[in-house]
This record gives sequence, structure tokens and C-alpha cells, in this order.
Amino acid sequence: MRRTSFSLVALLSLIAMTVVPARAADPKSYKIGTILAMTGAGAFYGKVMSQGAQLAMEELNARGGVDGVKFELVVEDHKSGQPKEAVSAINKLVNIDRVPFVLTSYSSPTLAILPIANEHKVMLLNGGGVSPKLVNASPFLFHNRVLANYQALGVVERAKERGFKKMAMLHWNDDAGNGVRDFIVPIWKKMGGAVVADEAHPVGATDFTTQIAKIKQTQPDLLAMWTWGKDLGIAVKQARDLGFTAPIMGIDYTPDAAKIAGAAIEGQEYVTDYFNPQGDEKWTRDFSAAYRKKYGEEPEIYAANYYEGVYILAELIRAAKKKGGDYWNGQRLKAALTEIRKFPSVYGGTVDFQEDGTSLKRVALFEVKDGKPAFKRFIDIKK
Amino acid sequence: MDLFAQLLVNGVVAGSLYALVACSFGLILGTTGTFHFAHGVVYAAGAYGAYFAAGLGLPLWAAAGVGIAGAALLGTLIEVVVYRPLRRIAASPLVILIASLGTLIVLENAIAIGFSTDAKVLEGFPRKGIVLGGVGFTTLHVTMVAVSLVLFLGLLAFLRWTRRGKAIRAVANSPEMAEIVGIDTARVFLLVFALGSAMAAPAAILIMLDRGATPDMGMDAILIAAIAVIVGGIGSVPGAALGALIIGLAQNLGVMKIPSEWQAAIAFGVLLLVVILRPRGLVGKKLRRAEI
Repeated sequence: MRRTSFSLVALLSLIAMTVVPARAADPKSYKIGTILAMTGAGAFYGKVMSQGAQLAMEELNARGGVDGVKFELVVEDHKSGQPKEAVSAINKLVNIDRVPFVLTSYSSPTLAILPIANEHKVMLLNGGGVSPKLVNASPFLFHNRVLANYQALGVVERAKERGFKKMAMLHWNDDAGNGVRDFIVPIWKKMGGAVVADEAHPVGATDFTTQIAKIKQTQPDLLAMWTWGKDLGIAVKQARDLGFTAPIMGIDYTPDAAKIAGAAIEGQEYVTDYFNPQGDEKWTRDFSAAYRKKYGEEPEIYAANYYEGVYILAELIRAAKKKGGDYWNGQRLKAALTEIRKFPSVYGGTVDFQEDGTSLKRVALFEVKDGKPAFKRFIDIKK
Repeated sequence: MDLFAQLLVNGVVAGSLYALVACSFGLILGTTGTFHFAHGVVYAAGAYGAYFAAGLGLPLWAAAGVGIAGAALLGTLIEVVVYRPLRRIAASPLVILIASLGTLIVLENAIAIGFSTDAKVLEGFPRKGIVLGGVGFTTLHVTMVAVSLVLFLGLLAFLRWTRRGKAIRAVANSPEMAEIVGIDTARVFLLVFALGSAMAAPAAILIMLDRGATPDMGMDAILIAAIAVIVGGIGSVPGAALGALIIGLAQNLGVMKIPSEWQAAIAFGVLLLVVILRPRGLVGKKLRRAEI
């Protein structure tokens, strides 16, 4: 009798174990990978992006993470856009740290890590790289940054409005810069414009005088730059030094570039993600205040994007966890994202993810005034 | 024609900055036989030293002086702490090269830790744009060429006419022989490192004034300098200057017809041509087999 009852209990408990839905299996911590430009010419980006992510993580952890499980950040370096560095970083992140989620940046490194991320089903969220080649590049790749082609679209529309015909281009010689060039040239021509110069430079170049001399020779109405970071500032400064007087427009602004260019960048218009530290929503202002307090500087769009990225992840975790089971993996996080689609954005408004992994956020036309961005108006992106 | 003139001016400006680093690197290589890759970080330290001093409120010329002195100090320190002990145990040139590369990376990152990696700009130069017959340049560009020319001629005069300069040439010619006639080679090495480091620093400071600087600025500079020295001929200071000027001009004039994204490849193209056609460099001494 005793015996039977014991085996019965054992049998029943076995059945119970299989029938009752498995409880969500929490990891010890939510380890997030980041692959950023920590060193090299683009180190500014790595600095602000990691600061943004760090701040979000600390805020979330101070509130107990997600149901008591805290976040942990693993920062890796792609040395300002080197694909091979990014590949060794992702290998380390998947094999040693075993992260299911990586915040990536830059276009070429992001493209380079896709095969490994796919193989290990690691979800990637990019808040920095802007190449049109990133669209639909992988089912695991998402962007909480509006890709550059849509920003460039804003530039050519504005150029047409200002009555420009002859456009010269200066761009990064990589997936981001060449991608925008390939995307925008046919559109600009269809709008009735002409491209009189198309000059490329390596990422992180410091001497643009040759390209500018060639551009100046063609006497364009407008110089459009598909160039980012301090490169932009140096190029603008050298253009004005060499007596280039036509207007310059671009799709990026960083305080670093403004510092280098000084008075030369005054009055320049550009179209980029709308992020205003003194924005119209409370979350934006709270973020700016916390960022200023922690780092002693004003946040800009890149810090904002990676800050936002960690918050998006927190929401994905909550949603995935509700469905139970082993939820801490790329497949489940990605499923949660495609289901939710719309998240609050730290810019104000929302991040609205599209079928192709890109997202729509606020984009606006700015002008540099007294070395600082001055908002002119929102741009309506037509996809 | 305008384009040609503009590219010519750009080439001379770029070449004269390359020349400062190349001559100083060539002087150290030619005299001590050390492939001093860490020269790149000494160069960067010159700019950051000036930036630091300017931050303390010193006027620009004094800050530049601090930067140059700092670079000279760092250069001699690397000689004493890194190279001299290695030479004492008769380390192979490869070992010294790797130690030099290691020093470069460590110190570059030390600068990054101290100053952070964002671009630093030195203010205070009376910079004015000048457009002459369609060719644009600035007062800073003129200064770059002038500083480079003065330092280059100064170095040549020093090597030719002073006692210490002659000692340097003697050691460069044959360290053993110099030792026999009573020259203290260790002291000459120190002098060469101090001199070379002090000569590279102004180039970095000028670049910082022009386009801002990041801690990794030395890497590119040293690469171009090494190419220039090989093109010009190892052991010849005028050769290094010539090599630098040729690379500056080739990089600028070379892209008149081809897309400018190939600019970076041009320096290596020049190197390849010289190595194939004239392995000893343009003005280098003929290499003798089994030189004692």
C-alpha cells in the first residue's frame, strides 16, 4: 500500500511537471552586448552611445531591473567601423558572454556581423548606422534610427525648395556614404537636378583639401555631405578655408564637428533625427537632466538612441516573459518586437518599427546657429 | 588650371607637414637603427602637451613650447626605458620593432584615458582665409610650410656645422668607429631622440590648430613618415623630406583625373614603385652587401 501510494505520487508529480506550463526561466542577469566605436576616429560616438546605454541600464537596475533581474552591459569595440573587429566582438559576445541581444552601430560593422548573429539567433538593434544597405539585411536586425536615405530625401527636397540645380556630393567611402549616394542620385535627377561632382573620402579622414578643390572647380549651387562626425566638421572648415562659398547641407550634426568647424559651420542646414534635450515630453527632459548630471554634458541623438534601445529591450523582455518558457533569447525578443511594433521614443512621439526592420521617428530640418542646432521644422518622410 | 594650382598648393602643404615627421623619424632610424614606431605617439603627445598647457591659460606660443619640450622628454624617456635595455641584451631589430609598436599602443591609450577620445582643438591662431587667383589657402597653411622649411634647414645646418651634429653623423656612419674615436654613442642616441621628438611635435600642434586632434593621430602620421623615409632613402635627412614632399604632391595631383577615394592608396603606390625600381631610395646610399 505504502509502496503504491509512493509511486502514485511520483507518477502524479511527473505528470504535473509536464502539464503545468513551464515557468519563465529567468537568467541570472540580462547581459546585453554592445559593439561601438570605443576607439579610433569615431570614438566620440562610442563614448556617447555607451554613456546613453549605461544610463538607461542604471536607471532600470535602480528600479529592480525587470522583476528583480538586473541588466548588465558588455561593451565591445569595432575601432570606428572596422568589420573584422566587429566580427571578433560578436564572436566573443555569442560564445563567451552568450548574449541574445546586441546594440550595434555603424553600417559596415553591422553588415559584417549579420551572418554570425543570424546563426546564433542574436537580435540586433542598431541606433547609429544609417546605410540603406541595412534595410531588410537580416530578420534579426532592427533599427531605432531613421536610416540616412530618408534623411537625405529631406535634404534634396529642401535643396529643390531653395532653387538649387547643380549639386556636388562629398561622402564617406563606405556602406553608409556610398549607400546614400546610390539611393539619392536617381531621385535628385528625377527632381530635375544635376550632380556635378561626386567625391568620396575614407572614414576618419582629416585632409579634405583635394576633394574640395575638385568640388570647387565644378561651381555647384550646393554641396551635400553624406559624412558623419568630426569628418564633417573638418571638411566644412577646410571648404571655407579654400574659399568655397556655396551652401553646404548634410544629414548629421555633432558638437564635436561644430567645435572643429567653428564659425565655418554657422548657418548650415541639415536634416536628421529630431532630438531636442529640452523637448516637449517629460521623458525627454528627465533623460537630459539625468545625463547632464552624470556626464556633465548635453545628450545628443546618439546617446538618446542607445538609451532608448535599452528601454525598448526592457519592454521586449517584459512582453516575452509574460508568455512564459525560455524567453531570454533572440527569437523570442524579436517576436515580441514584431508584435508590439510601437514604442515610446525618448525624442518624444514614438518609434514605429516597420516590416523591413527600419523605424519611423521624428526627423527634422535644423540650422546651425551660434554653433548649436536650431530646429526649423519637422520633415514628413514619405517611405 | 585653377584646379592644378590648388592641388599643387595642397600638395606642398601636406608634404611639408609629412616632411617634419619623416625627417625626424628618418634621423632616429638613420642614426640609431631603431624603427621607432612609437614616434607616432611622441608626435601626438606634442599636440596634447600644447593643448594641456593652453588649458592652463598659457598663450599659444608658450603652450607650443611646452608641447615640444614634452615631446622631447617623452622621446628620450622611451629611448632610456624601452630601447636601451633591449639593445643591451642585443635584442633583434624585430623585437625592438614590436616593443616600439607596443609602446605606441599603450601610450596612445594613456592619452585617450587622460584626455578622452573626442577631437581636441587648439584655439588662438590668427587664422585667415586667402584666395589668390582662384587658389584658396589660409595663414595657417603658410605657417605650416614656413615652420617646416625653417626646421628642416635648421636641422641640416646643425648636422653639418656643429660639433654635436658631426658626432651624430659619425655615429650614423658607423657606431663602432665613432666609439673608437671617443664619441659617447649613448649620449648621441639621447640627443637624436630629443631632437627628433622636438621636431615632430610642431607638425602635430599645427594639425591640432587646423583640424583638431585625436589620440590616434600618430598612427597615420608615422605610416606616411616611414613610407617617405623608405622612398627618400634610409639615412638621408634631405631624402626623407623629398620623399614626404613627393607623397604629398602625388596624393594631391594624382587624383586630378581619378576619384579621390584612391588617395590613400597613392602613398603605397609610390612606395611600391620605388621599392621595385630603386630599392635604396631616391637619394639613399647604395646598400653594400655584408656591410660591417
